[in-house]
Amino acid sequence: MIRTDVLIIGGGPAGLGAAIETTNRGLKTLLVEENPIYGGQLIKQTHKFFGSHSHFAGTRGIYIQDELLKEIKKEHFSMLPGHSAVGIYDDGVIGIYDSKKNRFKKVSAKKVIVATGASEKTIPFKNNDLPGIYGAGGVQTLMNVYGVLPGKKILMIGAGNIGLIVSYQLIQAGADVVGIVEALPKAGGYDVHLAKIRRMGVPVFFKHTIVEAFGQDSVEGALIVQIDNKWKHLNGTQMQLECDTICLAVGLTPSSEILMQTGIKMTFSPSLGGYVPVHNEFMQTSSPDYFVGGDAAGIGEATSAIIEGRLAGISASDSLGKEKNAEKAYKEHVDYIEKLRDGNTGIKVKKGKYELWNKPWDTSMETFEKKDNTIKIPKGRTKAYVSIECYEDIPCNPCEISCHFKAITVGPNITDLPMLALEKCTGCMSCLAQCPGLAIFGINKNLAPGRTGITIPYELLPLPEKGDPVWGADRDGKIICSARVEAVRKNKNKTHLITISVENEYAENVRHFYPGASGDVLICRCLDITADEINDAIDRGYTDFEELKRYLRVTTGPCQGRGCRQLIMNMIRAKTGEDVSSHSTGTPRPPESALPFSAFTKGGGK
Amino acid sequence: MRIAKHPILDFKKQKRIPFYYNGEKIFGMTGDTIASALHDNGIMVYRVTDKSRKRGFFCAIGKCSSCMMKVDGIPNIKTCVTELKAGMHIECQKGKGSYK
Repeated sequence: MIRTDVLIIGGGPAGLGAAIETTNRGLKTLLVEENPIYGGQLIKQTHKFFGSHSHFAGTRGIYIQDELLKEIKKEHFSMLPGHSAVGIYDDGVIGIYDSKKNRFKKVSAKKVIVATGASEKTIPFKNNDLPGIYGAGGVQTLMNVYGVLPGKKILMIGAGNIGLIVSYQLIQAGADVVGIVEALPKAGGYDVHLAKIRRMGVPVFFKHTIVEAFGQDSVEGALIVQIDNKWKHLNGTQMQLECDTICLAVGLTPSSEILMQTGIKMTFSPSLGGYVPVHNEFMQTSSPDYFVGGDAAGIGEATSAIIEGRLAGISASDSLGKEKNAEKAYKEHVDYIEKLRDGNTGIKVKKGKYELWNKPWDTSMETFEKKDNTIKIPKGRTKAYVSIECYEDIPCNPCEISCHFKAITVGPNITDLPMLALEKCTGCMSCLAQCPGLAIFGINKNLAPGRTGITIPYELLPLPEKGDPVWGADRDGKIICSARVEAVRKNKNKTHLITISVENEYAENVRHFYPGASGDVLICRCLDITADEINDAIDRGYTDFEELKRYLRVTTGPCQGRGCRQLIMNMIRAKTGEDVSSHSTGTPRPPESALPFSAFTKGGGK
Repeated sequence: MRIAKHPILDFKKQKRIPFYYNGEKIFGMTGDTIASALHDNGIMVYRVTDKSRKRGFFCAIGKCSSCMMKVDGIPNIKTCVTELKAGMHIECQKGKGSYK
């Protein structure tokens, strides 16, 4: 029997958060984690987190588990990866399974904190069990933890945050997302996540659903259909899409099955994602011995999971008499979590939790006053500035912290929109690389006469180089103009800043670019002569065909000008405006087609 | 298919390790789970159910039981959370699995 003060089940953000609190209060803490690697879902979150700068916002998820581990007091802590808790028995003994050694072990703990996370939901459609149909989290694990791409052409089902983030990550990993199918008329995820994938040209099929998947051994395609307000399929709108992977991002459900074994009170909460253990604000369940945190206590996001875990840790410590000033300890975390759940994006979880806590809910809490953060740019502005395209009340403030000139203000309510004081903005563009939503762009109208520089935060490969020709794309990913890379500013945090220049008229709309082809337009294939060389020669005064022929040797190759004569005449006409029909086009001479000299020496006669 | 280059992640170079799939020798990498190594080899069917439905992995974190295979003669191993070891014998599982 392993004896411990506190057993934590699950080594994700909530479990690690809980361990920080219990170990720092001197409680002997054992953490079991089913997977071979600790960190839960953090280990595959390659994007920068939202939230407050003071709580890891702007940090990529993949680095957060190590930051949490640093805060855990090691002398009171032991962790068992590859161990799953398989049962809590009537006598309170917890059975754990060591998958490496194939051995069952028993644990006796004074307090148990359950931080078992969530399971992925699935939806019914024909052949929804075909290999190649994966949960979005599964896809993330495969590609971001093990470095294996799930496929080449992916169809994403669901435009919540996970669907949008994983689509973006799939593109980063080199896959092609053929589309996102969403039953609702709008995306459930953050606007900034949607904007990111939209400007990369990923089609989003709103009010659509998947009907069937097809393929022999694995996915080869899918049929989708438009639906009406009552979810009825609209005939005539069916569409077949070719893909080798279908990624389901249709939501998560709390995974707290192990707690059900203890007989604690459970309740069904649609806004928290399913059956959740009844718990108070400090994460204690209906039993004084069991605590819960993170997705197991209701689906939320990772930052609030860390905080819930910490609360559970404090609660457990408190119940063991290890916390002298519990009220103060709770307050910091309770206040922060309230802030995270302000705004339209967090309200669902907040409401679910309030119901659980029997806390009065006032419908006025559901309406948020949103500031207008659009700004007018004075005509005479020559200095570069930033365009903050963040119009949704998500909890986030790294932009404010990153600005050295205090030009951006979010304020104490981190769900408030960032406000730009244009007069203070120097155009340094530091904020671009810090914004987790990649929603800030740099605008420099003074780059060159007639051209505007647009600086774009960029996290894709390959990175372009200065001088590369690219195509400017708008917010829907549609190419609207040609552009050129003017600067590449590499950043340590891997959000690099690429400045491209476009003609002024496109400045308001270009927010992405696609690599263009570098290379030449060939006119004379025989002698490798390019359009640029010919235009250059015409500009220098070689304005008729005979001159060009002598100067560049065009049409003197083996094809005798068959391929290029007409093109060259057109180029002269276009440049000079002259009627070239009366110009000489050279005199073709024998041999008409190439033949070896030996043919002449051997034959022909006298 | 391994991701060769990634804009955010640095995948450490790993050692190639041999293992067997239905008796055929193939290779994975140290640090792989059985499921990730199989997928990299283009193997997506991990078991065939009693109703002859082919199944691959689904959640990749050991929760859904979709990826259970026969590993070194033992059926119903969750291959998505089981580390790959050199020389392992992995078999496509039939039905609920057997020790035979």
